[in-house]
Order: sequence, then C-alpha cells, then structure tokens
Amino acid sequence: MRIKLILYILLLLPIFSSAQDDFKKLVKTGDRYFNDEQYEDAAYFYLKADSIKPINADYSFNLAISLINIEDRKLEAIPYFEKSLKSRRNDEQFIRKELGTLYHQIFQFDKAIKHFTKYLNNAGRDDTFIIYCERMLETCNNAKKIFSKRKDYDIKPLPYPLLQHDTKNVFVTVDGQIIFFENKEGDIFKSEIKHGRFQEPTKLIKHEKLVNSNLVNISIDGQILYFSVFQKNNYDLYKSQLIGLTIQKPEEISGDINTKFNEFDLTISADGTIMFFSSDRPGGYGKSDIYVSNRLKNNEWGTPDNAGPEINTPFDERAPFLQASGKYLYFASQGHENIGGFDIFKSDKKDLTWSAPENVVYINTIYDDLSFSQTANGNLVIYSRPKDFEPEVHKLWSVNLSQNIPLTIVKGTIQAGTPLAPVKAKIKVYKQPEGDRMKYIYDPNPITGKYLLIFPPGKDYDMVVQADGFLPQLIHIKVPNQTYFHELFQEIRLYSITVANKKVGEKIEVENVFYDIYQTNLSDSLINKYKPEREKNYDHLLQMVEDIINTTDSIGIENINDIREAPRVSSNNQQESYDHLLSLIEDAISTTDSVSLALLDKQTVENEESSDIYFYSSNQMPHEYLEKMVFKGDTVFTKPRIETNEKDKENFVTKNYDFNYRNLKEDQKRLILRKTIYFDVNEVYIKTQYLYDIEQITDLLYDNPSLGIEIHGYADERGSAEYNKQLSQRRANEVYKKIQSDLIKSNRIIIEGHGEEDTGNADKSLSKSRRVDIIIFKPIIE
Amino acid sequence: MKRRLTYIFFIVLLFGSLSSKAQNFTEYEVKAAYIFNFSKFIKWPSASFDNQASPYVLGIYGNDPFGSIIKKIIGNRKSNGRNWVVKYYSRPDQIKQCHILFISDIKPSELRKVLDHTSKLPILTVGDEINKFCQQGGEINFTPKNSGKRFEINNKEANRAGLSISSKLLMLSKIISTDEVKF
Repeated sequence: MRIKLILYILLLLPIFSSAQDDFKKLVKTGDRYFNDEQYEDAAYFYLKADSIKPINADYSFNLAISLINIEDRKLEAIPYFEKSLKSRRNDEQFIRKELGTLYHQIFQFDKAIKHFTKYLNNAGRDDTFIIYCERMLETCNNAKKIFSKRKDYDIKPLPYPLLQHDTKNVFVTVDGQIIFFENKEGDIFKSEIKHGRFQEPTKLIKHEKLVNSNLVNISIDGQILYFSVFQKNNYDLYKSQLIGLTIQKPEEISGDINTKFNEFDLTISADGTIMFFSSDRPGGYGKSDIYVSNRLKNNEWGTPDNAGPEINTPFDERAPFLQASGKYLYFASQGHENIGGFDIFKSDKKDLTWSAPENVVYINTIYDDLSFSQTANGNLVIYSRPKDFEPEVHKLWSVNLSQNIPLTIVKGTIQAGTPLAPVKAKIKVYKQPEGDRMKYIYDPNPITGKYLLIFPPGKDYDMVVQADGFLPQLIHIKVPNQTYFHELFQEIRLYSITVANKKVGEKIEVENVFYDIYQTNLSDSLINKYKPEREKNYDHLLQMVEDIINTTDSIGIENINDIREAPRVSSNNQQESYDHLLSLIEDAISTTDSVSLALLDKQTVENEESSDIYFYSSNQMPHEYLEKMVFKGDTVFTKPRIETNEKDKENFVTKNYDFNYRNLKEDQKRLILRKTIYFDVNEVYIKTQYLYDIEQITDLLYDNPSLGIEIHGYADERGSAEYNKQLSQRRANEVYKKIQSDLIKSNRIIIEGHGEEDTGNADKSLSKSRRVDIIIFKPIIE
Repeated sequence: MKRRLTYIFFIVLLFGSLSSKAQNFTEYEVKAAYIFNFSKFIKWPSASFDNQASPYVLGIYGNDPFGSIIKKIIGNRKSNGRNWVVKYYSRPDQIKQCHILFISDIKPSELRKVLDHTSKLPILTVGDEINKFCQQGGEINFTPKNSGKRFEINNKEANRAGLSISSKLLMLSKIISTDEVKF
C-alpha cells in the first residue's frame, strides 16, 4: 500500500507544482463556501483538497464544522475535529464538546468521557455548556455501565415474517399471543401466534377519523385500541373497538383527560381503575410529564394528578406502560439515569409512591426509546427498537426475562344454545368480600365468544355473566394465593332446558382448567421413574443441529423451528410418553400398587367442571325468585352463586331433600312445569302422544334429585263418585308407573286421585275432566 | 457462528422445558390408558372373538370426550396380541360385537336402555363418572377425582356377562353390587 503511494507521488512529481496550485484553489473554494455557510459544498472542496494533501488543523476545523452541519454526515467530522485540536487558534472547548457528543453517538463512551471531562476542567464559571457537558458526561458513564449489563439478557429481533416491517410502536396482549404494531406510514398490523410463531401480519382497516393518529396502547385482550389523535392543533386521547379487522370510530376518553395541550400516550391498569397518561400541559416538572387519573363511580376518569417527582423530571416523560400486575410502571424519559435520547425506565410501586426509576438496560439505545410492552407473567417484552447508526429505522425486538409475576390470567369462552355457539354477553367482576367492582366490563368477543380477565393472587371474585337470552349467572372464582403465574382456561356453556315443548330452566356448565405451569413437585413421586428420558430428544436434536451446521443448511434451520415450536406434534415423543403412561398403569395394577395410581390421579390435569341447573318459576317474574346480590353501588338479580373451586364445592353444604314432599306448603314450592294428560272415557291407558313428554319429565327428575312431582288424577262426573274416585286414582297410578324407578325416591312423589272434585276445570267440560295433571316443582327450603 | 450456537442453545432449552411440561397427562389420556389396560386384566369369553387375531372393539356411546387422543393411545398398540378398533354408537341397537363400551354424559333413561341391551352380551360397560352406574347394572365406573378408589366395579354383573375380572383389578376398586350389598 505504502509502496503504491510512493509510486504515485513519484509519478505525480513532475506536475507537483500544479497539484499544489489545485490544492490551494480547492481550499480557497472551500473557504468561500464555508463563509457563505454552504456547508455541503464547503465539505466537498475541503475533502477533495484533503485527498491531494492532508489539510492542516485550521482547515480541518472548518471541514469538521461543515460536516456536523450536514445531516447524516456528522460522524465523519470526528477525525477532523481530532486534527483541529492541534492548532491553538481553534476553540478547544467547542471541539471537546462536539467530539464528546459525536463519540457518544458511535458508542465510544470512554473517549467521549475524556473530552467532556477536559471540557469541564477548562470551563469558566459562566460557561453556558457546563450543564450540557455534565449531563453528557453522566449519560456516557451511564451508557458504559448499562451496555456492560446488557449481555446478561436474551435479546432477539422478532424473526420472519415480522423482520421485514419497519415499525414505530408495538403492543402485545397480556397472554403474549397477539401483537399490534404501527409502521412509519401509520398503518396498523396485527399478528397472532399460531403453531408457535407469529404469523404474517394483517393490516387493519382504520376508521377515517384516525388518519392523523398514533397507536398508543391496547386493552389487555386486544379488543380495544387506544390512540392519540391530532386535531385542533393538538393530540388528544381516544379509544376504538376492534371488530374483526376493522378499527371502529374512535371515542374520546371520557372525563377530565383531554385538554387544549397535547395528550400523548396512555396505559390503563388491568382492573380498569387507574390510568397513566403523558401530557405537555403547563404546571408539570418538565415540558411533558406523566399524569395519573382514577376512574370515578360514574365510570368517567377523574381529575388527573401529576405522577410526582419520583417519576417526572425537568426533562420530558412519555409513554407510560403499567404492567398487568399494576406493580411496575415503565415509562420513557429523557431524564433519570439516561444513556441518550428517551430511555425506558422502570419504577416499582411502593405503597402510595414509586421507587427511584431504573434504566431498563435490555431495551435502551442511545437514541429515542419510547416503545415497551410486556406480557402479564412478565416474561416477554416486545418493543420497537431503533437500529444502530440508523435511528430512524425501527424493527421489532423481544426479550425473554424468565420472570414469574404472580397473576392469574383467565382466558375464557362463552357459548350458548344447542348446538353451542358464541353468544353476546357482558361480564362484570366483583372482588369478594369487599364487593368492589373491577372497573372493566369485559365484553366477550361476540364472534368468537372469547374473553380475558386478569386477577391478582389470593382473592375471591364473583363474576356476573349476562348472556343474551339467559338469566344473569353468578360464578365464584377463587384465585389461589400463588407465588407464580397461573393460566386458567375457562369455558362457560349455557343451555336451555326444554321439557314438553316448554322452556323450564337453564343449565350452566363452567369448566376451569388451571395450567399450573410451574408444578415441580414431581420429583419425590414414584412417577419419576416412569418419566421418559429427556436426553433422547436431545440426542436427536443435537444430531440434527450438528448436521445443519456441517452443511450450513438454512432450510434445516427452518425445520428446527418446526420442532421447537410444535414439540407436541412430534408424535414419537408423544407416543413415548403414552407408552410410559400405559406401562405405569399396567405395573401398578399387576402389583396392586394403589399408591402409584393415587399419585397419577393427583397429577392428572383435571378439568374442574361445575354445572348447575336452574329452573324458572312458571308463575313469577324473574326478579321475584332470583337472588338479590348487592355489591357496592350495584344490585344484581342472579341465580344462586356457582362454586368453581373443588374445595369449596366439598364444603358447600348440600341441602337435604330427604323429607316427605307432602309436608311442603304451597308457598314452599316453586312451580316449574305443568303438563296435562287427557284420557278417553273410562280409560286409564296413556295415549302414545304423551309418552315422549313423560319420558322427558322422568329424565328431568333423574337429573335433578331435588325436584318433586305431583300427579293429580281426575274423572268426569258420569258414574258413581266412588267409582270415579278409584278411576282417577288408577289414572294417576298409570302415570306414576311410567315415571317410577328406584332412582326417584318415593318421598318426592305426591299422587292424588280427586275423583269428580275438579276445581281446575271451570267450564266442567267432560273431556277436560278426564285427565292427569303433572306438576313439577322445586321445594324452596332454607 | 457464536450467535447461531446461542440460538440453538436457546432452542434446546425451550425444547427441553416444553417436553417436561408434557409430563402432565389430561384426564382423558389417563382414562384411555386405563381402558387399554383393562383388556390385560379382564378375560372375555372366547366366543366373543371371531378368531385368535381378531381385534378388541372399543365402543364409545354418545358423546365422545376423547377426540383424537383415543386413536393415539390405543391405535397402534396391541394387548394380548390383538389390535384395537374404535367404534362410535349413538343408538343401543347398533351395539353388537363390542368388548368394551365406554359411556359418558348420558341421560338416565337412555342409560337404562343401553344397559338393558348390553346385559345379555359379553360387553364390559365402562361408565365415565356416571352416578349409580354400577348399581344400575354397569360393570366398571370411573369415580370422580379424589374419591379414594379410581373406579368401582360390579363384579356380579361382569360374571353374568361372562367376563372374569382379575383379582388385582378388583383389589384396586370399590366393589358395588346390584343388590346394594357392599363388601
């Protein structure tokens, strides 16, 4: 290289003098442009001159100034500033300040620290840049510290097909299954996890009023999107429902939130009671601050307060994000322990205040970081991150934190009818025993029937489910006082009970499946010895990995992804574990080892299923027989509470129906169904048309051991009263014979033959007197 | 290269953790496994099979709670040298050649019809946590979780149907008799 250079110089020697002239000319032109502040041209000529012969320190200074005045070329100024330090004529303090700033931008924090330190050492007392340099010095020191901590984290860009999207912001639902992101053009996309990976995102259709808006958050289930909408020269906060792929017309956030100043971002707690938002309204600590508002009784947001000096600084604060547990507040700030631009900080809730914010080391870059979203278990953080050296380009990244925030997510489906189909419903949740209502009214998605609730540990809740066409259901949920994250899958199924073409009641089934992800008490059990050896899987996988590395086969990597993402599908693995299950049971039976079986029983993931049948009263209005539940501020008429917790069900004292139903007074019976069967003259034979209804009535009695039945026989006036009495009794007995069985205890059955004494038949028509009335009732006992 | 290795390491970790999670079996996986094992501890009269190699027929009456699990668990396996076949029934008169009949979620009146029909045949009826299943003439009933014994057996009824149940299996279960005498 050097030889080549010498050769060139030798070749150029004859025309050296002219090159010297050119050099002077170039420098002069550069100077001229520089003085006219035409920096791009100035830089061009200085650089050209520099390529002929290195320019001196003074020109270097001019060149550096030119370069920092050109967008995108600032970093090129570094070597020329360094060179210009050699001349005493240049403003050393200015150069040190600029160099410090530039070195920060290329992550050379040590050099930046050196320059800022020197600046501060030489600075006079009235120097206007002392504050800036002190701040930058601190920023660089922070950055050095924080960058060294970052290697402990598992930070990854979200893979294909999300990789191609340039993003501005991203939000993940609390269960980590769906992300919503906005790109630089303002298009909003949704991507769902299927087969273990995020699918090709689909673009959502925005309502026309959202043209000038930013997506600022989503509700926990992703069914509501929040926006800051630019109108009347400032940003205000709005919410929109997402139905299918369409974002509906935005509604302004109600209450005292929006002002004529800007409101930028918002976050709402999982129970819907607290909102944090950022605004640049006057009266804060800095220009833009974070404010907090509580939801009032009338469901509107109350007058906001500044979130306080723990959070807000004289710099800007933006983009609050309240973790689903409500215990951690993440927000963006230019202040605090900052490493450049906006950084994301985390503050923990301490009673009523917030702890000193900590820099979220795994996210922050030296550029503006304003994007943060986290799942309810705290494990997964997804954010939009500026690219190094190209801060205007953002991509989606994720961090796996292996956290375990103790919360319970309830993912449910509500369906009704036969066949079952999603039903429109509203779910309200009340904390027990206080009766406080969680402020969210959860609207299950009417198309899929899905809903999502979040509960902190160790509390009891009452869910009031109001589905179209059914009575309000009261479901009791006990959230275990766990120390780790739970997922509860819940299915609510509603059926109508129809007997003899009449809707007499309804049945609710609630199925809860707790996925106790961290159940680890397997170790001391006998089942351990039947556990398939996991190493086998590794062998296969490791071999495959080795092969792929050997051939650097990129398609192979795709295959690994498939294995990783759908391990249950790998049928070998599954068959192997079934083999173990089968031989465990076989061994246990042949050694009559009941302990093993009991242990297996214990570890079986059992669906906690509760079901309840409720009968309508055929002669009362619903509010007359439904139970009145008074919660704070709400009175609800519902069916009796249904317990979903196994232990509670055991403790639940079942009412004793072992008494003679004859002793019940009329007001102690709830009339559920009346069915009349007519007979031919002097006949006790039941016509076939009634048999099906009687069978249904029998099933109803089988299924519901508390129901009682009255069978009243009648005869018309013809014939002797004595004979008619007997005839009516025989008719009633005939019906009884159809219903009679050892599963329906006789104490529930009341049979009477009334003979001619017919009170229910006003017009005394003969054919209507030849009948049996079947009355199904439910005893109302304390 | 290093990055790729860490990536792969992560995959291995994830893979490992997921497969450990698969250790918990669901209720119906376990029930299917019991049903499969019943065949090893119960003898059917030889007349109930066409020949030495004809398969065990598992009938599922009415609602099918197993879904695809049942085929995965008994589909490719043999017991006593016989394959397994699964049949689905919705009416009692469809039940003819069948060795184990699994009954789940059924109306009492329908259950009576099914049990009436099967009582004359060498069929092991298995109830899925059905109230008073054995008392009404069913052979084996799974009991609800945490009820001590995993299932109850009506051995008299089984004998009447020509089935002999191993004493080992009987020892692990609650014995129910049609005439309400418990021992």
